[in-house]
Amino acid sequence: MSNPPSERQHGRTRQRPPIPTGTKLLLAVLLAVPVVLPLWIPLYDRETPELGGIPFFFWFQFALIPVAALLTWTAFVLVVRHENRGGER
Amino acid sequence: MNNDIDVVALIVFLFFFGLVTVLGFIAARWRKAETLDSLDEWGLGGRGFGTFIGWFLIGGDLYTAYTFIAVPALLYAGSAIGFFAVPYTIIVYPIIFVFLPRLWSVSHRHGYVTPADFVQGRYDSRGLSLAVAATGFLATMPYIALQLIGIQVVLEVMGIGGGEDAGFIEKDLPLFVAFAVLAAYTYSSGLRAPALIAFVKDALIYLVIIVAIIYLPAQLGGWGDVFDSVGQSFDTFNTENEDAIAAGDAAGKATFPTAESGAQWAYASLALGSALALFMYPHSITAVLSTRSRNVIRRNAALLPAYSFLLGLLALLGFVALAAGVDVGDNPQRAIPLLFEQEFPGWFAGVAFAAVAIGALVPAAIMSIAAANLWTRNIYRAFINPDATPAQEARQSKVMSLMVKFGALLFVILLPLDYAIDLQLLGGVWILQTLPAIVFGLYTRWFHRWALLAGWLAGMAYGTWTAYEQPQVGDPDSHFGSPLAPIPLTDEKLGYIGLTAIVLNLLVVVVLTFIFRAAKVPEGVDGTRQDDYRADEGDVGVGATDEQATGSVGGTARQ
Repeated sequence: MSNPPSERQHGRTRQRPPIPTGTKLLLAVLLAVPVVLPLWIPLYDRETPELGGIPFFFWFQFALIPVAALLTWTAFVLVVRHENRGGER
Repeated sequence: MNNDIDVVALIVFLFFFGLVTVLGFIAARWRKAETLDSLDEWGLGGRGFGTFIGWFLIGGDLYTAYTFIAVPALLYAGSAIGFFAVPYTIIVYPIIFVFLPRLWSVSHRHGYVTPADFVQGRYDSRGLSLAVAATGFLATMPYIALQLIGIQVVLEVMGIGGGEDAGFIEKDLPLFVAFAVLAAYTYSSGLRAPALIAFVKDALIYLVIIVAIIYLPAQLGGWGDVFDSVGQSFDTFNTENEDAIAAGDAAGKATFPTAESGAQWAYASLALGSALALFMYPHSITAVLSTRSRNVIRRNAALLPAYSFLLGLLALLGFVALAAGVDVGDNPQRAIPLLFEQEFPGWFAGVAFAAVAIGALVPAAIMSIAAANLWTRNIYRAFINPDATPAQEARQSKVMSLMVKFGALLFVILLPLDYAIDLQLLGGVWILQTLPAIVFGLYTRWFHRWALLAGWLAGMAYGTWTAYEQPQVGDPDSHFGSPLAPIPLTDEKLGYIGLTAIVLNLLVVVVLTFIFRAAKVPEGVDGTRQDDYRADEGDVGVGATDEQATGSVGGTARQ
């Protein structure tokens, strides 16, 4: 190892307060929903109701995409807000 | 196929191909660095890409031409699980939102270029690092080959190159030229080339898909008619082949996995397994490490699903092709290019072909860069020349990127098509086995390095053997017929082999970690610190214009 962890690298990350447990839980839920829903196939394995001639199975998964994006974006906003509050910026 | 060449389509195609070639070379001067003679610059584009470029680059990297050809082909062929690509690309983003920022942070602080660099720094084990690097290399090679196949299918449909009865030169020359050009500008511009070309690629792809999805179903009487016609076609097939299907000599066709089909486990396990595997691929990590800050990654986790929507629409075009009566012969992969040729005017077919072909160039470039970096960092520097300078590293990677592409080209030209597809299937199973070392390592040092190595070996061996054991439908003596196998301990439910292999992998890792820790087997020195995993843009030692890689990888394990 040509460069072991050295004093030089110590403390170079700005201190950010830990994320409160409540926020962590909320983040976990926001991110778990778009992982669990697509895997829960009995929820959407059917033909009807159709949308514009497209079976439910397909359009439901299309609909999940913006939902997942929105939830992930909300998680992003929460994290950034936390970091800005706690950081030096 | 005996196609006449559509001159208009060919001219449009050549125009776009020429455009991206020029862009590829100009890219060397884009966001100009003092020198491209380091992996941070050549291999990671200066580590400074923002959200906008990052979106195009990562999107261009993950949603490859082969995907664009193969996913609709699955639906065309009546595979009930074909649409799994959509849930797969939904669930991947919340997952990466969680762990990739940590990998980004530690990699920027220590100058890591590859996932194996991180494993070496974290676990102080050249064996484990080599295993991760070799797996990445093996999984990436057939993936590059498949991009070539994507181009080849398009060229064939256009009537240039290809064709079973064509001579060797006539058949493969256009492909060879396309790849030689790609190799030349990747060599000179590094990651900047695919980053710049990705703009053209994605603009074309979005344009083509949106036009296709609005225009084509309307031509055929709307989506209702498309689905009716597909349903009838599959029903007819299932009735005519009832005996063969019952005997297991043919596969029944369906539009989606119903509860009775028993394919829901397959659908879900493929989606989850593929999502977990995606960001273990070296080329995905290369694109992510080229970004400027943790927030670029997080923001893109919410923005990249736009591509998933596109992929879903494209997948449905497989049904549209079937409803439009496209005849693919014995190769469903021709469905999409043939649909474009049949239904679009010549000039727009040319745009569509260009979109697919350029869609192959972007990931092929990034994959070859990622594979080359694995060689340079985790083999050349780790074992051959530990004191390599940044310039020597860059030279190694540049030359290796040429060799990797040439290897993929030979692969496609000399070996049967099935080999590349089989190997890519295996590649997904393999790359997933590196997840414990990479992802768990971001959170804890509890797992023992040798336990991780043993778990990797167990997962690789089980996954490879099980995949080998799966015959193709209707040919009991064949191998690598399916990514699915009965899940052990269930009543013969089919599931993704990669996912069962990683469960075995994890079991071995946990049990052996307890044993090695009890026996006080040396666990090596951790080269990283807690706060490295949260470092962000603006912190000391992190940033686009940072000093050269600080050299905290490679070297010798000290036991």
